[in-house]
Amino acid sequence: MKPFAHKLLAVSVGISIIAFFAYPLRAKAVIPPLLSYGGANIFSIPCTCSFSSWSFYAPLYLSSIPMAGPIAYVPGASWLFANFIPPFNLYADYEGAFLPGVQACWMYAGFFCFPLPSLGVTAFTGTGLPGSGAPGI
Amino acid sequence: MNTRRALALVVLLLVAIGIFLFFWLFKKDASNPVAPFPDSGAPIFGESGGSLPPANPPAEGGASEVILPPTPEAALIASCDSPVSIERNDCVKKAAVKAQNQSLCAAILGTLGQTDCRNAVLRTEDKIADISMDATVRYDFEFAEPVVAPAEPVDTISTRLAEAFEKAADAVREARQNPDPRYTADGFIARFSSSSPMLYSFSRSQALPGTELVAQGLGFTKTGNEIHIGNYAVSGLASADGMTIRFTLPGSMEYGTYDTWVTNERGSSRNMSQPIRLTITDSPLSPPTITGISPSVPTLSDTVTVYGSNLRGALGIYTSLGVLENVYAGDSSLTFKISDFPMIEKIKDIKGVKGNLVAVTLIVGTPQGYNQEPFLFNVQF
Repeated sequence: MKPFAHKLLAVSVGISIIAFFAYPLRAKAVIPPLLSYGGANIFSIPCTCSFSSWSFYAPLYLSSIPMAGPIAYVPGASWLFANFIPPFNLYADYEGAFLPGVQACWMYAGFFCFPLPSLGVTAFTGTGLPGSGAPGI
Repeated sequence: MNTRRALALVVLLLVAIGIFLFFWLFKKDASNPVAPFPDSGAPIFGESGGSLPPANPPAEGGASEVILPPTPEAALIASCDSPVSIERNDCVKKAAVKAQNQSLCAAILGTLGQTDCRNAVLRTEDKIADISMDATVRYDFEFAEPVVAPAEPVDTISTRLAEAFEKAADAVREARQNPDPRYTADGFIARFSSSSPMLYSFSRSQALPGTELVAQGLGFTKTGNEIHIGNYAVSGLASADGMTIRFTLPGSMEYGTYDTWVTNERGSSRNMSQPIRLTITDSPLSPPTITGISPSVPTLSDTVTVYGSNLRGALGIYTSLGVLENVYAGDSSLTFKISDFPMIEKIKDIKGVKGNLVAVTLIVGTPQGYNQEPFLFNVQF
């Protein structure tokens, strides 16, 4: 009987745990393979070969754990939140979504262009500051 | 025996009641993102024949007086009906900031978005870092002081706005089931690759005639691309992704260094100020390869030695910490200091970086090209 009670308790607790975690965990992220991100843009340089810029974010949040890294921004292709200030504003906080793995920043040197590594390229982004007057999305 | 069985049944019953209560309570909360709002059954804001409903309908139990200013901004919020939540939230926030009325922020889905909106209204003149949603999130993580909507709304808010939430939530659910292609990766790639043609590099910059190469760039069309190598041309080339073209050099090419460019129906990539060159030779050098670094996990004060082949004449190293030029390189090794990256000083004390490992991608650029397989290593901050 004792094993039966233990089993019953274990099954009940298991069901409770599954129910607790399964129900509220509903995806609110952007549509994969795009990944959402947020972070402070502390450094931004133009890419000399491609029509893009390379922005370094620190901290950078791809999850609740802060990290650091660069994400490329391509004017025209990377959409801005309407009327929010676009990149190149250092120390501003951004949120948005990016496509991982695509190298969109290329630097020119010696009759050749070299990729400047980044985590990916921004699909859409913006700050919390209104007022840029950008056409936006 | 019977007592134990009865005890077990009681436990099971209690757990079942617990699960039921959990779902019931959660569902109740989830069905109305702003739980404190009373459900008065009032018409949905903006749907009363085009005119705004009365500004101050009676509130339940006198708990909250309803204040909904019949302003043009409030009407604007009613028009924020995009099925895309980002667009809708942005539209509402813009109206709230413009009207300097934080109660309008309640029409945004999610407590973080509302908090961000209220911050934007209240602190438009404040420093940038205090305003964005990200700052709110980071504050939450760093200082362990959860930023949530107050138990009682900052402002008294119309029950109609609560219903507007429901309407917006339905729109968002619908949008998730039938996503707007503009906000998908495919939509982005379509915009990204629709530029005029640009040529960045080849898989190797020195080659024998007849060698198969990969051209890397942007704005290549699905078919009909033409690669020009001096007076030679290879036409009828396809590009599946708009960023690469696989082609074979003509076997009859004469040795020499040629300017190269790509043309297609969108135009030409030729840029006289930044020519992309290809050398045809009988003794081509291969692009560099990287086999390892020492130390394997460098610290900020370390000098790093990169081992590999064909590193001589390196024009620079390109990493996810930035660019370093004028590095010292031999044939099989090159050295650089981690502290030479200007980024290091900027990020070394930032929370999440200090004391942690940061992943770095390394590319070495030489006159023969660059390592096609990026090298990854960690830096101990």
